[in-house]
Amino acid sequence: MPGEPVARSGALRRRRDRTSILLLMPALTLLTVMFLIPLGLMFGMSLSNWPLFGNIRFAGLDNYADAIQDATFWQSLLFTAKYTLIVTPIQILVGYLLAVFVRSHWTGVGAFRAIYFLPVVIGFAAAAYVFLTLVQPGTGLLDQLFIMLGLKPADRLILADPTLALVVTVILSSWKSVGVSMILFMAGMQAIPRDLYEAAEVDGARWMARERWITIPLVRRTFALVLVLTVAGSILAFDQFYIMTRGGPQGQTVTAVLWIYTVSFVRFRLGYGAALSFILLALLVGITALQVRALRQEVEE
Amino acid sequence: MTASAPRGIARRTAGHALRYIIASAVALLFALPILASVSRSLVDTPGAIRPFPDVLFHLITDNYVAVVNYGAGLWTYAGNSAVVAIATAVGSAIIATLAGYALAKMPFRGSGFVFVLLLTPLMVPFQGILAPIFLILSALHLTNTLPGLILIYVVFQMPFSIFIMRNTFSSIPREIEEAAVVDGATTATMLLRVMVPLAVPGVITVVLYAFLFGWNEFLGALIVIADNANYTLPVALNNVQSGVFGRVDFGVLQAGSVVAMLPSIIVFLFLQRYYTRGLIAGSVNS
Repeated sequence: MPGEPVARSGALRRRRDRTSILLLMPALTLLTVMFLIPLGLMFGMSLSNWPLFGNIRFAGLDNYADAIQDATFWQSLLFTAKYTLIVTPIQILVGYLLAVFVRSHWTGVGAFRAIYFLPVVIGFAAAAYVFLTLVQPGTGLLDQLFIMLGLKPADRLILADPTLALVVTVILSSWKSVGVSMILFMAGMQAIPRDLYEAAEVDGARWMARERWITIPLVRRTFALVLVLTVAGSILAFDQFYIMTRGGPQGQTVTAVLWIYTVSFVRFRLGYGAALSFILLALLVGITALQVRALRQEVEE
Repeated sequence: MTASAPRGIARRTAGHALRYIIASAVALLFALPILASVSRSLVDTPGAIRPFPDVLFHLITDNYVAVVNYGAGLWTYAGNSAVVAIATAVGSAIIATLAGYALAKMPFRGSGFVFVLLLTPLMVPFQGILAPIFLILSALHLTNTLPGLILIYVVFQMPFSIFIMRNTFSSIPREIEEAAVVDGATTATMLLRVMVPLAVPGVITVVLYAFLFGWNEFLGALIVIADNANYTLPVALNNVQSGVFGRVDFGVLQAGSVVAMLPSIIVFLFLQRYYTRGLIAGSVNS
């Protein structure tokens, strides 16, 4: 192990171990109180009827049974899935293309990288407020654009149309997160030895072929990472939906987390919310595991 | 050099020019939303009939003044966000430095397990366990307080922070430690005077990420804070947007957003390198 201390005699060793544990105490205490206990608590909650005020009753698997019959929950899962399936390819593709642009060194590339990455650091809430301006009827840039493209009549609100609302949130999320894929891809690409490209050039391979046969295969691991991160992030999307659409025209843009939030903190059915959270988490873990397994096979080929 | 060298150079120059053109066009596209927001924030409502308000003719800063007075006042909200962000940054740095050092330089039999344990919050996203966390805060009488929120933020920044600090410490050569020990350093001295100065890049990365997280986070703040006076900026702006303080004024909302975005942008521009390092370090782990 790197940095492994020199072997010491028993007493000194024990004292060092004790100091080590002491140094870890703050982190472990915080972890236990604010994470492990809540996690365990949530399990218990999901099996109870747990209103914010009032009596807590054990309810067995009732919450889970309710969840299965909860149309809004399933609709939110479906919508979240739809949203994820749209956003992910965009992020990966655009991130890759941008990375191709900014991976080499040319004058000013640093500035471009910074601009492309800037939306990442402002937070989803700020991004949502910014995009609210863009969809304002009459003055918003997106509003003007959509009218120009014939996507909507001049007098209709973008956010009143479920499809357009989805389009706007997709644009927002892509704009905001593409920088991360870009940097990750860039790092992966920069690890590829230049000789490979030079050899290919000598052999007469053109740009597209070089990308296809050298870059793409060699950034598989990065691709896997970007995929996992993008999917996980999209499954947990909340801020932009709460702020921009509030669940959209008649609940048609409700994401899973938005529904869980509503159940837990607007309707105060904490037990039920806990059960829904568990289901969502199970799905998330499952999907991530599937991705990892599928991608591991790919990478090994 | 082949006989077609001049043509080759011309083609390359054209290629370079094209690259700049495309890159700039894309950059404009990326900057557009923020620019639109800034421009909208400088315009009074009536003047907003025009699609892209002409900043030169309408440089009214009324919106910024109005924002200051909305609700409990912009400075209160920004101040709350600042307190939360800075406290999260400092708390994360301290906890992660202590833990990272212990894990990297003072391993014991259960170290590996402890490390994995400390990484588990990465697998359980905070959006998933909101309700029980709220109840715990309730039991600690910390709901609706900034410290309560800070605790949550620090816990969920911990995995990444500890990971970074552990890596940073691991890469410090053993010889330095051994030399310090030979010089009679105690653990405290070793840590504070020898190790930490060498781990400053890692600390900066941790502080940067934690600060941005604390400053930008929305859902947690929405749930934990109930009193107007304690709201952080993202949540306060939400109230502006939903008209809680009266008619929705987009100029004011954008002014508030610009104020919310500015620190993030400035901090990022100055510390870009550290942000990228953190991102890549995190990806190597996966």
